[in-house]
Amino acid sequence: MVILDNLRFLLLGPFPNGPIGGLALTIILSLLVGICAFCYGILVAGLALSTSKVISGTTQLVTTLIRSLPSLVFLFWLYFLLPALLGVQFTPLQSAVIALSIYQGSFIGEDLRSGLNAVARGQSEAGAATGLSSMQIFWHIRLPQAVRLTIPALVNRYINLFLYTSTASVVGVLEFTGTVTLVNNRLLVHPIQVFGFAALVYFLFCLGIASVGRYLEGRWSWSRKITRSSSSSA
Amino acid sequence: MQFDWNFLADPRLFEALASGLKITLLLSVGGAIGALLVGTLLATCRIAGTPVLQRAARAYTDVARNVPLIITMFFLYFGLTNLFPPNENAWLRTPYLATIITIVALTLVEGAFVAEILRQGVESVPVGQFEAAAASGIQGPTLYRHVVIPQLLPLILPGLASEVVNVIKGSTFAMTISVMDLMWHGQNLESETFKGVEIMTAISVVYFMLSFATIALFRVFERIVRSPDQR
Amino acid sequence: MSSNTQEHATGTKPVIVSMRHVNKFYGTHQVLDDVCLDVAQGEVIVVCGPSGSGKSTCIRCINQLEPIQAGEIVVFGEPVDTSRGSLSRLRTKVGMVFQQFNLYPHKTALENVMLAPMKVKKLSRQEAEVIGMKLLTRVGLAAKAGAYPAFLSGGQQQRVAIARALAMQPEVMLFDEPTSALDPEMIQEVLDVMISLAKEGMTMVIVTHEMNFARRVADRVVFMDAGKVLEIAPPEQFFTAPREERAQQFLSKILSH
Repeated sequence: MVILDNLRFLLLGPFPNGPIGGLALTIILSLLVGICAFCYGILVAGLALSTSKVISGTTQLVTTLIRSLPSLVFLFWLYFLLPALLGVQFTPLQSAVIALSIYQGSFIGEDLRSGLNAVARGQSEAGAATGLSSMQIFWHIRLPQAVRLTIPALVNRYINLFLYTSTASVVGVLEFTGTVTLVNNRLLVHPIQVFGFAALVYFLFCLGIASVGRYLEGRWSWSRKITRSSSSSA
Repeated sequence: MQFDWNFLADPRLFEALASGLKITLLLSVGGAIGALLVGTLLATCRIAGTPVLQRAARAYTDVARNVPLIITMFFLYFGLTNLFPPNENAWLRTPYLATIITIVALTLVEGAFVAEILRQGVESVPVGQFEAAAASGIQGPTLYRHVVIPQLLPLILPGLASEVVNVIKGSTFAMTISVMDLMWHGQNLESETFKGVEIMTAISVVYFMLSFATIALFRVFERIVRSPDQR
Repeated sequence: MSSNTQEHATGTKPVIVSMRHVNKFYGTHQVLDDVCLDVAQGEVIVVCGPSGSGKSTCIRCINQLEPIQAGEIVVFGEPVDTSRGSLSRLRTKVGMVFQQFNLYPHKTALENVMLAPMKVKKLSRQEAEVIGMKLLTRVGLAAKAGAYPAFLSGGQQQRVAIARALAMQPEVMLFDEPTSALDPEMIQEVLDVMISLAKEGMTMVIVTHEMNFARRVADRVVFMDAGKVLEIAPPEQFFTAPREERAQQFLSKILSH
């Protein structure tokens, strides 16, 4: 069967005869982007809450602009912009990590901002009454609650993030979609099997992410939830 | 970094944007209409269909939302041309094949998202409405036309606006199967002129405008359908 | 200021909180009108009045959860201003208990109590834990130290909230209708904690509708209506023979059921 023949390539890419690729790279990419995007999202959500209208306004503007772009366009734009701006040539993989982190992070930031707004005001007041600074209140009291409130929206976002690591294949990164496409172009005779297999793998992983989400929702079920502040996008 | 502002006035850029925009609009409008139709069909199956239909619709929605658009596109494009090689099947020998397949892929995938929005919208209509209508003997198409849909529209329009924007975003993947949309023309021009930053900035601006125009359009719809108590 | 307001404390203890001609507006609506009040060390002041009288707003101004537009509030000899440093110092000395408890739902009872000492007073985890357990024992909830607020009853949550406020070793405790959100059978357990606090000599300003409690524990009762302080008197005097007419009306309504 054509899939089994090429299984090692599909799962690991050219490794060990080259850099890691395939499904392994998709997983690594998703984890890496997942963490970076979350940090970026916290930063964006925090800045959007700033008392300075300049800071919060600019942050909101930038975030809205980024979110209205297709991820592929943003990726290509950054791919050309970064070397011109910073004078350093980034590999397609590096550009993809940076672009996807900022892109997905903008959506996560927006979800977190909704979550932060949903945390009862009394929580901040209780913190303030015991002398905690605004930064401490944000970090220890509001943000943890906001994240737990936002779990359903975040799960959707991470499913989207995982699926659209495939965007990187368009700039030549050999992650799972990249290797699958390569195998198809090499063989040309079994596209339905090859792409069907790819679809199945992505589908199963998404089920996994959704299960993790349900488990987390169950653990932290003590308050109401925000489902989607903004829906998924490519 | 030097941004070549003069390039923005270059006729080649304008030509690339114009040709690309035409196709992108075709993909977007086609995809959006298709997604709305498929979504409505799916939602109807899930809400009002037989148990078999309901489960089938649910399964379809689950799958379609959990596969990347590129894979779906490649599956359809390479699968179709493999099963029915254009050399032997004249009806496939159209230069618009890739374009049509992109629209179909967008329809199938985004249709599932639209179906979810419609379904959630219907479930948000207070149960009391159905009960009151049933008590007066109103049911079926009349129920939906006069009671459900007027209350449903304001609930679902924002979600639908998002999904149409997602169709526009998804159309960018068409360049991978050589559809000559905005991104394809942009890439093409970049390989000739190496003005990647300028080109991609211009393209980004076009996509901003498409997104904002869509959202603005849906805001107009929202105002039209708003009932007097919400005005 | 009418002659019915004994805004100055009796006795020789130093004045800790002093509100002088405090005025506060929400837009054009005046919520506090020329409020004057002195609280001496160890005093228990009960503030009562109809809803909308500004009593909650009044005590929330003391720890600057609400800003004031005119007048002066002096706490421990320092006028309250909104600079960050002095606010933090102020709030470590003034503790507050809220009507809605406002416990942090994502932290256990003990963690709720420990947070401020660790982050503001920079205590180590062990030190904070010792203080936390001591206070939880004091409010009778040592066994619930590891429980999350969602699993505690209202009365238990409010007692944890009191422990949390006490963790910063305040010298003044403010209570904003602490039992108004509780089911009747849980009110007494919270009041008992407050009574024992008062017996230990804590300076307390309490906004409440619990008149029997006020009678037992208050040194002075402050009656407010429509943003004004109408009467300040010792409880025996206030409850048996209030001088202001609005106070009489209020008491007759509230004591009749």
